[in-house]
Amino acid sequence: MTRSLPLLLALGLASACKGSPPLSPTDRPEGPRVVSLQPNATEILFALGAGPNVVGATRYCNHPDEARAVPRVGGILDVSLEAVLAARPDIVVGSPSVLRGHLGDLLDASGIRQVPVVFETADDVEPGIRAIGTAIGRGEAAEALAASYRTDLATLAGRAHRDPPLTVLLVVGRNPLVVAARSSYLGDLLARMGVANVASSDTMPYPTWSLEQAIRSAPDVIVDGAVEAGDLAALLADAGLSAARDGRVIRVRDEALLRPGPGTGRAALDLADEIRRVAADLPTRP
Amino acid sequence: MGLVSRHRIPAFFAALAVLLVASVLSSLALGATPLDLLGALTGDAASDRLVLLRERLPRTLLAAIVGASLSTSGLVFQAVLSNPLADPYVIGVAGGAALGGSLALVLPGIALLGHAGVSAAAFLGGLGAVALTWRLSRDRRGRMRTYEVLLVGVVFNTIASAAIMFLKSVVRAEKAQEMLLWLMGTLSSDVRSPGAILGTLAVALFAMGLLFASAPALNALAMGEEDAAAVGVDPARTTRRVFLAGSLLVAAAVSVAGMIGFVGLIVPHAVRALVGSDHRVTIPGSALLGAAFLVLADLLTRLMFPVFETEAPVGVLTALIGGPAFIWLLKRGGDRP
Amino acid sequence: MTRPTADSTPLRLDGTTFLYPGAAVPAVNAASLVVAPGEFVGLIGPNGAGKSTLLRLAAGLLTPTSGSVRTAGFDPARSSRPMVARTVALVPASLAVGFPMTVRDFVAMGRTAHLKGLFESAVDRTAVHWALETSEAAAFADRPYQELSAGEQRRVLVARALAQEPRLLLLDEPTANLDVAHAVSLVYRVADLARSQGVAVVAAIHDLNVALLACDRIVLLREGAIRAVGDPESVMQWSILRETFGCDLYIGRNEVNGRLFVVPMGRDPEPVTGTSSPRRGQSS
Repeated sequence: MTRSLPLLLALGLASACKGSPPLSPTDRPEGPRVVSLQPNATEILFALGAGPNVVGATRYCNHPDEARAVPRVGGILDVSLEAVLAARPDIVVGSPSVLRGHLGDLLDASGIRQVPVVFETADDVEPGIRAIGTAIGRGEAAEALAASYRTDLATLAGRAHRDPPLTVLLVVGRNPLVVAARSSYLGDLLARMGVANVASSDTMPYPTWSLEQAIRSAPDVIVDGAVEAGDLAALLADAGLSAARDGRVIRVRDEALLRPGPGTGRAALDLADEIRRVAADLPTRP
Repeated sequence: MGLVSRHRIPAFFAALAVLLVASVLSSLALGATPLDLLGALTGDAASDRLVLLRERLPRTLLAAIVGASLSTSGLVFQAVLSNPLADPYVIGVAGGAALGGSLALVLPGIALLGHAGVSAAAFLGGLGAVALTWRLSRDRRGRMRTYEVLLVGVVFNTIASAAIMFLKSVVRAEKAQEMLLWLMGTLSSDVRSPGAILGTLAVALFAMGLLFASAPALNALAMGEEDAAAVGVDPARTTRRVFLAGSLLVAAAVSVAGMIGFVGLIVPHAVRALVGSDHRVTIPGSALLGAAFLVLADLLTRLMFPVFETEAPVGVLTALIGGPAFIWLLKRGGDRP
Repeated sequence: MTRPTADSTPLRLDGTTFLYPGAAVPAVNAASLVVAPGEFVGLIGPNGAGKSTLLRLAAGLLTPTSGSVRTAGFDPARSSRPMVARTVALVPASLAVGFPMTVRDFVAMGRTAHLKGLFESAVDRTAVHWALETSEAAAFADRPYQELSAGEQRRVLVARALAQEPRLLLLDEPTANLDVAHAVSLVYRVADLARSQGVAVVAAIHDLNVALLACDRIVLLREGAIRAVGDPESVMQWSILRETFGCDLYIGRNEVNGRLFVVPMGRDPEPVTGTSSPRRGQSS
C-alpha cells in the first residue's frame, strides 16, 4: 500500500490543479444561478419558467421530469457543501434548518444569497412562491402562480362535503401502517375539502396504526398514498375493511399532492372529485 | 510476534507518519468536486479557498482525531478486558453517548443550541454511562471484574438502543432521519468550528498521553492480574486509569462524529499483527494508523459522491473496508492482545 | 501505605492466619516465621498444606485474616505495588500466558517497578542480562517465550523474578517440570545467590531431596500450620515426617556430600487423622 500512495498523491494533486471546468457560453442561462435544496422549491422554480437557471438540486428533486437532469448536490439533510459551492450559485434556496448551520456560514462568507423557505402546510406554498419569485426576479410570474394556487385552494373548500361527512383514511406508509392525521399537511387538505379524517390525533402528524385500529375506524373511503409498492387494497380487504372490499380505495401517486407545491391545489381538487365519485353510492342523509 | 521485526520499528513509525501526511494532503486536495489547490492557497480562487480552509481542513483534522481516538481506545479496551473482540463501544459509552445525542436532537430546549448542544449531550451521556458501568461492575475491593463490565456494557447498549428506537418512532420524520444519520457515524455534520476541533484535540491528546504512560503496566497486565501485581503493577489502579482515559476518547469521538464503527476493532488488530503487543509501540501506532485510516475512508466517501449522489456515512465505509481486511489479517496468522 | 522502617528482616510472619472467603478451615493457620538475609528456607509439605498461600501472603498478594506479615519492615499487602515489587519477587507455580513475546522482553517485565520513564535504561538491560545468565536462560533469550518447553519457561520465570533485584525471593515449585540436572543446578544457583548477595529465599519445593541439597532451614507445613522449623538435622525425623506426610520415610545420609536424603519405606501408607500419629501396624 505504501508504494501506491505517492502515485495516488501525484494523481490527486494533478487533477486538483485543474479546478472547476469552465462553462461554455451556450450553457450560461439568463438570470441568477440557483441551487435548490428542497424538492418543493425546485418544483416552483420550474413552474416559474426558471428551470434552466437551476444549477444544483437534491436527489429527491424529481418533479417535474426535467428536474431529474439537474446536477445533484446531495439529499435534504446530507447536503454536500462542496457540490453546492462548486455549482457557483448566486442564490441558494432551502429550509431554515439546513441553512442555519455550517452551510449558511460558508454561503455568507461567499456572498451567496440565501432564501429560506418553509413547506410544511398548504398555506406555506403561497409565501414560498413569492419569496422565490422575488429572489430570482420573476415577481410577476410568481404573483400569477400564487394567485392560481390560491384560487385552487379556495375552490377546494368543501369540495367533497356531504351530510353526513365522508370518513376518509389516508395511508402514507404500508408497512408499518402509517396514516396522515389531522395535524399533518395531508390531513389539513382533507379537512379543507370537507371530509372527516378517521385519524384525528392532534399531536402526532403521522402516527403508526395497527391493522386493528384501521378496522375499527371503518372509513368510507381509503386513500392510498403509500410510497412502497404493494397492494394495500388487497391487504385491507383481507383485514375486513368494507371500503377496501367494495373498491373504495383511491391510489395516489402524484408528487404534487404528497408534498406542498404549486400543483397541490389542482391535485387536491382532483382527489376531492375522485373521493366523491367513489363514494357516490354511499347513502346520504335526506 | 509481529510481521515487523524489532529493529524495523522506527522505520514502521516513519512509514506511518508518511501515510498520515499523504492521507491528509490527499484529503485536502481531493473531494466531491475538483479543487484548484494552487488557487486556493494563493487566494485567487476565492470559493475554492473557502472550501479548503473551512470545509476540507476542519473535516480532515476531525477525521484524524476521531480515527486516532477510536483506534487507541479500542486497543486498550481489548487489552484490559482481555478480549480481542472488544471495541470502543462495548462498555456502554456508545449507548450513553447515542442516547444523550439523540435526546438533544429531539428535545426542543436543547435543540436550540444546535450541534454544540448535541455534542455536549453526547459527551456527557457517554461519561455517565461509563460511570454507571463502573459502579455496577466493581467488586468489594474496588476492582473491575471484566466479565461484569462486558455484560453491563452490552445490556446498557441494548437498553439505550431501545430507548433510541422509541424516540425515533415518536418524533417527526426529518428528526428521525437526522438521528439516523448521526447514529450511523458521519463526519459531514456541522462540527467545524476551531473551538470544537481544538477542544476535541485537547481531550484526545490528554487521554492518549495518559494511556501511553500506562503502557508498561498494560504490558504486565497481559500476563494476568497476579503476575502483574507480582512485578509491581497495581491492577485495580491501572484498569481504572485505562478505563477513564479510554472512555474520554470514545465520548469525545462520538460526540463529534456519531458512532463510526469498525475503526476501533480492526486498527488495533492490524497494528498488533504488524508490530507485536508492546503497548509502548502499539498505542502510538494505533493512533497514527487509525487517523490515516479514517481520513482515507472519509476521503473515499467524498470521492464516491457522484456515484451515490450523496456522501455515504463514513461508518458504512469503515465496515466495508474493515470487514474484509479483518478477515484477511486473521488468515495471515492471528494474534492475541 | 506503611512507610518502610529500617528493619532489615526480609520476612517476618507473626501468627499469620488466612481464611479463603467461604472456607471453613484456614489455609494458613497461625504461622510464625522469621527469615534472615542470605537464608535459603525450604517450605515442605503435602498438597494443600498451604505452601502457595503462605508465599502469596509473603508477597502481599493476599491480606492475612489475622496476624501480621512484614517484609523489610513494611506490610506488603498494604504498600504500593511498585515498592513491594522492588523488595519481594514471587516466582509463581503456573507458567504465565500473556501475549507472544521474546524471553528477553518477558524477563524485562520484571523491571517494571524499577523503570524510570517508559523504556528500559542501561541499568535495566544489565539487570535483565544478569538474571538470564543466573537462571541459565540466556541461550534462548531471543526466542518467543510461548515456544519454549515447560522446563525452559520455568527458568525464564525465575529470571523474571531475579530481574526485580529483590531482597526476598519467593519460589513456588521452581523445580516442577525441570529435569534432575536443571533442578539441581537451579537450586545451587539460588543458594549461591542467597549466600553471596544476601538475598533471603523461601522456596516451596515438592521434591524433598532437592530441598535437602541446599536449604539452610526446612519448614514443615501441614493443613496450614507449621509443624516444625529448623535445620535439616533437627527436623528430618521419622515421626515428624510421618506426621506431616502421612507415610513412612527412611532418612539417610549421603556419604559423598554429607547431606541427608529421604526415600519412601515401601509400605502401604496409612491415613493419618488428628494430630497424633498412630503407631505402626495399628489402624486408625
